[in-house]
Amino acid sequence: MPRTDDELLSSDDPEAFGLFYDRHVRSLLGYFARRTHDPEVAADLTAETFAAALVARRRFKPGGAPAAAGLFAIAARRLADYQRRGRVERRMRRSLEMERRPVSEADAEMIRLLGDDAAESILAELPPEQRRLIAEHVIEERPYDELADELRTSEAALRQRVSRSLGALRRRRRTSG
Amino acid sequence: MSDYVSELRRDLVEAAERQAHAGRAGRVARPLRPRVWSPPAVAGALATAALLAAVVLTLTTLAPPPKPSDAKVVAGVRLGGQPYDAVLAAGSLWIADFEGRVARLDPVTRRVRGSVHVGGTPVSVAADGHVVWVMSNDSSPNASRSHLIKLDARTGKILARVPVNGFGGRVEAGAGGLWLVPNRHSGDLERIDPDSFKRTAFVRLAGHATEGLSGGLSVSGDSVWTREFESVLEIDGRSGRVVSRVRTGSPPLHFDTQRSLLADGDGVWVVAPTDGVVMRIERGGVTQRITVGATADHVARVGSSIWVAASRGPNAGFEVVRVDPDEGKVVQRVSLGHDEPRTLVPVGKDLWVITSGGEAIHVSPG
Repeated sequence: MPRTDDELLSSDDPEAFGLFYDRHVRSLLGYFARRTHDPEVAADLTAETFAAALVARRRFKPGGAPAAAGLFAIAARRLADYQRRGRVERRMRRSLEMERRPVSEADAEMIRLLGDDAAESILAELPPEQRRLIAEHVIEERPYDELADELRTSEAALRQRVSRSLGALRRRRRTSG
Repeated sequence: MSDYVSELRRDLVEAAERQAHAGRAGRVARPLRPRVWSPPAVAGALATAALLAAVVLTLTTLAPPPKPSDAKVVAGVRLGGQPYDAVLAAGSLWIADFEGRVARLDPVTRRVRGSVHVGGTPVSVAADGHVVWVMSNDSSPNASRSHLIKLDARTGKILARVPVNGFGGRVEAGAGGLWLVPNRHSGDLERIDPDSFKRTAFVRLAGHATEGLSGGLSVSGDSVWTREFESVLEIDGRSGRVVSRVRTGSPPLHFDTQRSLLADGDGVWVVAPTDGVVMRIERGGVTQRITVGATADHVARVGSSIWVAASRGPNAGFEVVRVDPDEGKVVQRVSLGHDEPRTLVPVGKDLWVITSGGEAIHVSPG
């Protein structure tokens, strides 16, 4: 039986926090992307939110406020800070000695997709193979290596195909927008 | 997943490892601003964050100052404890309290007429004629299940106590049975027969995305409405099938917003807590979006008006806001003080507000 968010967040096992992250990273990226319309800012805010959640988790009490609610409470606070100051704070990441990661064009496209209300309908217009790649990799979060195995191709080739699919999606969005 | 997402995950897991190691070595770095994730703390964080985020928006987009009104608080009744939800049944207000009881308040005499000990932590109540249903989470350490308690609202006697597998959420009566969120960690819904307690329908909603966020359940006619993260779902109560899914763009951040949905024959009113908005959903889309404050919580209908619990900013206290659904605007505000409203209960032409401070406030719309 999958562990609950509360169990993951209260666990001392570092990988448990990774699983908690897996569950909510897409929602959080979409949440920030819709509100900032800037993939880099959305990525930065997401990183800072998870860092703050990691810092605060030793104080987390299972059975009280659900962990996901706590995460989004932090997210709302980070968003408010950003809107007030015009920049994303890095305090929590600094306290955890975390580097700021660059956001590639493919990452930015994925984040836009997560925050785009119209993406689902545009996605439906893509050819089946491209639609499947985006759905499986970006939406279902299946890693490149696993998907490459299943499709009997190399990881590098798969990356290119996903990139082309995202490019097709971007072009259609421009056309439709 | 993308490189950024994978790399951020790796960074966080490594940071968690460093944190665990530092903890074991007794050299735990103090959090910059330690926070306790207890319900009041999260509620406060949500409210503060949303208020700060929305303050500019509120100043510029809030409805014009409402017309002077006669609506006012006419009485307050001290209940004590930590009320969480309430409902009207057999002429009495039944108020679930975190301390394991359901208090009975006579709204005419404004007197508490005793209470029923149900045990655990009652988190939701529903009325079905002369029956009050109570969802109560077991409160023992490591508890992971709940009980559904059936009360006779005329006598106050417990008629049945049924175990529910999971840490339960809301319960509502109607649409062919009793609907409940059997496990607040999943958001799935089930319908049970109110006499045999057998499950008669099960609606699986999106798994982890709703975890802990299944805020709201409302039933009207054959329709059951609930939230699935940022979307509002209409479920056909007879077939158990999802018949519409409307994206609101506002996540149900406030986990303990009990009555954030209010269904009627044509659609549903939905509160977006951290946006301070009440919106109307009809015919598969959002048809009205009305700003009532910087934050908003519960919604109820009294006569032709919609009332929403709201707050206009940090330290501004709480109020109930009257919305004219035809005009689509705020027409009255009644200040409640600084205790957070836990639920709103319409009683005839009046409104009762149950607060976290253990008070029942009687509001007359005038």
